[in-house]
Amino acid sequence: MNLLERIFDYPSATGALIVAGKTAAIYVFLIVGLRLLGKRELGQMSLHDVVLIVVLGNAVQNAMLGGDNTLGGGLVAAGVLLLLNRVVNVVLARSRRVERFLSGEPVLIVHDGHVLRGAMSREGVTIEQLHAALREHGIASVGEVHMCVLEVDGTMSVVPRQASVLKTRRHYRGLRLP
Amino acid sequence: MTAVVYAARTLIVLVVLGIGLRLLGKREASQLTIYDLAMIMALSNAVQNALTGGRGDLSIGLASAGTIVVVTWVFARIIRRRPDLERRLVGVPTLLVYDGRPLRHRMRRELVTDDDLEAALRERSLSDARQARLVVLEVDGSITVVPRSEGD
Repeated sequence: MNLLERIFDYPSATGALIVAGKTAAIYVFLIVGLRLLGKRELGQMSLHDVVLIVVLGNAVQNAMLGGDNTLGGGLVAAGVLLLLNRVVNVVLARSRRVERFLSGEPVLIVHDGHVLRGAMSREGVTIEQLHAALREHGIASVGEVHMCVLEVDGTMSVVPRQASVLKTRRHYRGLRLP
Repeated sequence: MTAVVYAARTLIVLVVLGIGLRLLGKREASQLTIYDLAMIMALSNAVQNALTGGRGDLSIGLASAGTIVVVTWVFARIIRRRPDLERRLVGVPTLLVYDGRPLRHRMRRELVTDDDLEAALRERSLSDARQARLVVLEVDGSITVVPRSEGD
């Protein structure tokens, strides 16, 4: 076998189609599975979640390729993943409904000095955590807050009544229930 | 000889992935969702066998890994030497809000959603796009906000 043949090996047309089909199926499965897991943003992820994703990637490797070790096969699988990811991102950007379903929505916790207790208990945020978030933004009492929002990535943003610009980032992971 | 074969295969995969991610990937790394991460992990595994031919030999692994390191280094050098190429390879910052007005077509092109924009504003303690003088999607994928100063 000459050098070029060894570098540019590729599967048959059927083989490439099979790899593409399997990869698409795996990608859809991964999205559904991760949605069921409940967490949607990296900010919410712990070390365990990262390990899970790395292991997932390895677990599905042979299912995607089915022992296809060719350069062409790998590139077909990579192309299918990139394309599908692009499609998901475009749909997320176009449709607010799909975005809300796949990414969750930000939740208002404090509005014009009033604590929205119902939203807080639904999201599992305690009053101590709320006060900690306010203090982080240099605010002493809820009365000074225009709005406080639990973002989809699990952080809390605070907009004071007199707009000043102060921001620290801290994750309240594990607080949001799936 | 084997090393040359696998170094060449690694180079090809890297170039294709680089072009693919530039064309199809999204830039806001800070807004990377768990779905994007899963795609990246699956992607790296999808090309693994193409890199190594499914073989676990030490020499193949070293040739492949060495190629990746060298290519990354060369890429960084090229970008430092030629800032004009950087614009094409890495992209330029994109203005998302100018003088309080969201630039919808640019947001759509960069796949930044209203929710993303609003979250970035709230992070800077702003409640509305009208309070922002500039909102910029940086090349590293973060969204920066310049608020209007008093009297603007």
